[in-house]
Amino acid sequence: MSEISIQLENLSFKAQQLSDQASQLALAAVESSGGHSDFIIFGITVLVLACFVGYYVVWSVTPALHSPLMGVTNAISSVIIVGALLAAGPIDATISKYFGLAAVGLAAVNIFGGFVVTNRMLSMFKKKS
Amino acid sequence: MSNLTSVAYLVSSVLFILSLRGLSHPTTARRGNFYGIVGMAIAIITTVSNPGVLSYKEIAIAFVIGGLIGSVIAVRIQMTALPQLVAAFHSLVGLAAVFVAASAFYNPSAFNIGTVGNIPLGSLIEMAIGTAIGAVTFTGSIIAFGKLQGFVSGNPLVFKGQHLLNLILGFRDNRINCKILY
Repeated sequence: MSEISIQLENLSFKAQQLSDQASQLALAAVESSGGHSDFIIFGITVLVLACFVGYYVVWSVTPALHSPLMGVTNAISSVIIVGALLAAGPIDATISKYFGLAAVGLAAVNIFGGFVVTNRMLSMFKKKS
Repeated sequence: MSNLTSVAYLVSSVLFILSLRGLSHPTTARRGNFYGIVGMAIAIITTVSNPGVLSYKEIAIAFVIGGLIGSVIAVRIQMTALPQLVAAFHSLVGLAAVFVAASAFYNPSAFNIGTVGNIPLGSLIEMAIGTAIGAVTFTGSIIAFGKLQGFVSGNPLVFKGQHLLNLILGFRDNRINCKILY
C-alpha cells in the first residue's frame, strides 16, 4: 500500500515537472515569435480601416483647403518619430541608435515645420475671407 | 506594450483623424491643426515614457535641433514658396523611415522583433517594404520640390532610346527575379 502511494507521489512530481517544462516552452515560443502572426492580422486590420477613414475624411475637402490639408498630412506623417524614438532609446551607443537619432532629428524638423507651415497657410486663408 | 500606452496611442490616432477631418472645412481648419499638434505631443510623450527608451539627453538634443531648424525655416520662408517647402519637408519623413528600418534591422530587440540575425520573416518583409516606400517618398518628394521650385522642368523626361532602355531594364529585372525564385 505504502509502495503505491510512494509511486503515486513520484508520478505526480514528474507530472508537475512536465507541466512546468511545458509552460516554459509555451512562454519561450510566444517570446520567440513575438506574437507575430497576431500582429500581422492586427496590422492589416488597421491598414484597411485607415484606408476607409482616409477616403471618407478627405473626400469632401474644399479646393481652397488642399494646400493646408497637404501640410497637416505631411506633419502627421512624421509620426514615424515613434519608431525613431524606440530606435534611439537604448543607452549603449550602436549604429542602430545613431540611425534612430538621425531619424528623430529629421522627423522633428518635419513636425515643427509642418504644423507651422499649415498655421501660416490657414492665417492667410483667414485674412482673405 | 501596456494598456495605458495602447490607449494613449489610440487617443492620438483619433486626434489625427479629427485633425484631417477639421482641415476639410474652413470653419474648423484651425482647430484641426491644433488637434494634430496635440495628437503628435501625446504620441511622443507616450513613446518617450516607454521603459525601453532611456537616452533622454541625446533624444532631446536631436529633437530640439530638428525642431529649431524646422520652425525657423517654416517661419522665414516666403508665402509663395510654402508648397515646395511642404514637399521638401516630406522628403525628410521618407529618409527618416529608411533610417528607422535600418535601425530596426541592426537592433531588432529595441522593437521587440527578435534578435540580430534572427528576425521573423514577417518583420523582414515589413522592413523591406518600409525601406522601399521611404526611399520612394524621399526621392519623389525631392523631385516634387525641384519641379515646384523650378529647378527641374515640369515636362516629362524623354530621351532617345527610352523605351528600349525600359524594355532592357524590365527584362533584366525579370531575369533577376527568376534567379531569386529558382
